[in-house]
Amino acid sequence: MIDPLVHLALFLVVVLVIIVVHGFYFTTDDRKALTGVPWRFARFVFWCALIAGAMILAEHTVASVS
Amino acid sequence: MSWNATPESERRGAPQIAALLTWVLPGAGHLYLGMHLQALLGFVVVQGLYLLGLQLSNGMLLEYLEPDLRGPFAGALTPEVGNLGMLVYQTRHFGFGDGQPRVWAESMRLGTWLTALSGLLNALWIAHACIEAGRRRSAPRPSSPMRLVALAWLVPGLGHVAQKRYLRGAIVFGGLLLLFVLGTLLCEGSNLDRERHFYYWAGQFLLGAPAMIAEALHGEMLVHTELPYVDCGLGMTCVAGLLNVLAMLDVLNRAEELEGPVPTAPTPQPVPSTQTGTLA
Repeated sequence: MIDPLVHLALFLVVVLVIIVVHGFYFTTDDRKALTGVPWRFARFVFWCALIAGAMILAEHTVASVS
Repeated sequence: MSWNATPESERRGAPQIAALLTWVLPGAGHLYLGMHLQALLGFVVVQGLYLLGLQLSNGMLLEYLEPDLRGPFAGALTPEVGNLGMLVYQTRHFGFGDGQPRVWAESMRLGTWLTALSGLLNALWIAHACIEAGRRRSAPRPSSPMRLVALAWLVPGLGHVAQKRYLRGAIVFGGLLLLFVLGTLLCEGSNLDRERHFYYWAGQFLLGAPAMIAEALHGEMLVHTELPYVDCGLGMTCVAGLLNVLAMLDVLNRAEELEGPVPTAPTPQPVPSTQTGTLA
């Protein structure tokens, strides 16, 4: 049995690591990279949610297969 | 990056040509740049590793693939693609076997590790040739940043530590290990088997020693039950390896920055002309 909440929690862990390493790549200043994490994290999750929403919508409308 | 900043006329050679030559034949790019010792070293080490791996695995690497995944570009997403010449040779010479399942070679795991390592080393060697090609012909040769990049591959964060960026190194190490360990637990170790997850394995190989040690210890785990989160686990371990590439690039960029900007030749100043006209 797959719990969607567990999936979501695991996804957020992956996103956190991606955001942190990505932030380090784009700036040489550690402090700046770390303070930018919350905002970048929120932005990343927002866009992912938007894409997931669009996919679910498409799945239930135009791409619906019965 | 400094190799890009050097004017074309002052470069040792064309970085693109050096990279392409090394990709096809390890050492050829360095030979083109006149770096004979590095050319010989690259050729012997990289080709030697691949040939040894090929011998140990009886060339059966691509037989790991399911029949529907077999094709001319099947090896394109493996670490071996870093050594393109040898991968093409293996694909053409050994291919996917005779279509009948065979018993794996006794040293299959070690053999495929060596061929993967050869590809990865050649990728570093390509970057080295590229950087050297972009340097000035007359400029003194500083120590290569590729050693730090190799450290960053071997242990995530170690390249940063070698650059005295301890916080960054600790966070990279902790973050990537967290993903890898969590992913491996979710897969109950089944992710560590190249035979089972051929392409995910290629991603997690980029994590270096942690992935290789885990595979050496638990690489032959048997799966007895359904693993509900195996997809998440595979994604996590693969992402951990891919993020280590970003960390390696960060180390390379920093090393290039520390090397400083390429000194430009002094531009001739206009000589003030002496006025010979009559004074009013």
